[in-house]
Amino acid sequence: MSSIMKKIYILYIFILIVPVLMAVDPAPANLSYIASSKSVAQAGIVVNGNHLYIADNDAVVNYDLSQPATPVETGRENLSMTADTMYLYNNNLVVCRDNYYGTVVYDVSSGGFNSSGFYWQWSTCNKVTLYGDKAFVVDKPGYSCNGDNPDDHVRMYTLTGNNTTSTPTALAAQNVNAFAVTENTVYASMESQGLGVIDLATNLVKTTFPDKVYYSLQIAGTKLYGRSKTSLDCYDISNPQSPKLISQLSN
Amino acid sequence: MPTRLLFCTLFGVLLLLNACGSDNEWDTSKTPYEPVYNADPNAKLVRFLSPLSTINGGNLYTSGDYVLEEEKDAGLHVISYQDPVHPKKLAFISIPGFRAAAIKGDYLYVSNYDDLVTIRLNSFNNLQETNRISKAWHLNDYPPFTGVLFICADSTKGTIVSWKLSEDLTGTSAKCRR
Repeated sequence: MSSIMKKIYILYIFILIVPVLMAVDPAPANLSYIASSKSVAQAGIVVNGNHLYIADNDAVVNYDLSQPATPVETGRENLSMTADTMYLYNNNLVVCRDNYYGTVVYDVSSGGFNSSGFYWQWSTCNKVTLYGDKAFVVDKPGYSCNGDNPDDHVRMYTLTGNNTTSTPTALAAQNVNAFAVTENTVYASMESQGLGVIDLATNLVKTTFPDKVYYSLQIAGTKLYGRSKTSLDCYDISNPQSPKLISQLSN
Repeated sequence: MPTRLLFCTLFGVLLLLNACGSDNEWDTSKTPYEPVYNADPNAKLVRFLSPLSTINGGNLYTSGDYVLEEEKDAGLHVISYQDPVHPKKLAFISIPGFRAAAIKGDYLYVSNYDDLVTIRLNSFNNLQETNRISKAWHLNDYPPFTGVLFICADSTKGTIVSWKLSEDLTGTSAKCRR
């Protein structure tokens, strides 16, 4: 009997000590950074016809723009997570949740948030530019979307039906800071090679501007605008694959 | 029988002990966070100013022959390309906390911290704010971490623009936890 009591006593002491040991504080974490409120408006503003969409910390919100001077909230859909990015593709509102928490796609053709059968394979780690039935995709800086096999090319996908999973074409543009797309041409600013003009039909670089590195590119009609560190440059792209630099507005 | 009784008693005591001590999830020995406010009365005010130099240029938005160039966190430069060979800065739209914009027709929609502001673009020389939706984006009133103590947010002190480690190292003023 005393032997059994001794074992029970040892077990009792052990059981009492374990929670105490587990409660001992580990080395204090070295928290030394400031957390910005980056989530506010980070997903941007999307306009589709008479509707404007924003996403906040827990919902995507629909405003009616019938009176464009005075938007009126008409709908709200819970996301349960902060949104990182929003895209619009053929009346599908694509909302990527922050930190890889998935992507939801809403059919907004009626203005409301209806479920869409669209499968969207890209998430917060990708930057996606849409043109026609093509999606041009790169990995965002600092993200590794493909794990051990990162791909630093601009990849072109063809969107068919409700699916985005076509075999991509790796375009002749790597490590891009910014890119813009027209019908047959991609303008890609690469850190080491400057601005490259790529023919989509042949995937060949037609023209380069080696000393022109841009961090934002925007096309409007026959003009291509590029923001470099020191100037805002404007190109005439009437001939899309032979851009002509027409002005540089210094900072 | 006494052995079983003793074991059951000890097990019950253990369960009761485990019910205590949940405060370790919020270690009060760690420095709490505190909100950083922008109490500037102009923080929620869009102003139309004379042209300014670009310091930290960002995204580009276009409307006809005009380009709106983001000045990060500060607003938009308005640039006329009516003569594309000689572009000209016309104005600077000061929008504190600017993050996002969209254009539809004659209207520009922008974020001014958590407010959604509508600006009429009928004339780039005479821009007008036509509407403001206050708190269109919900600002969290807690830091973006879990398992932390923080000083509770007070909306009367201004707009929360970030969270920082508190100077109150003792954490006695941190009444909120997450």
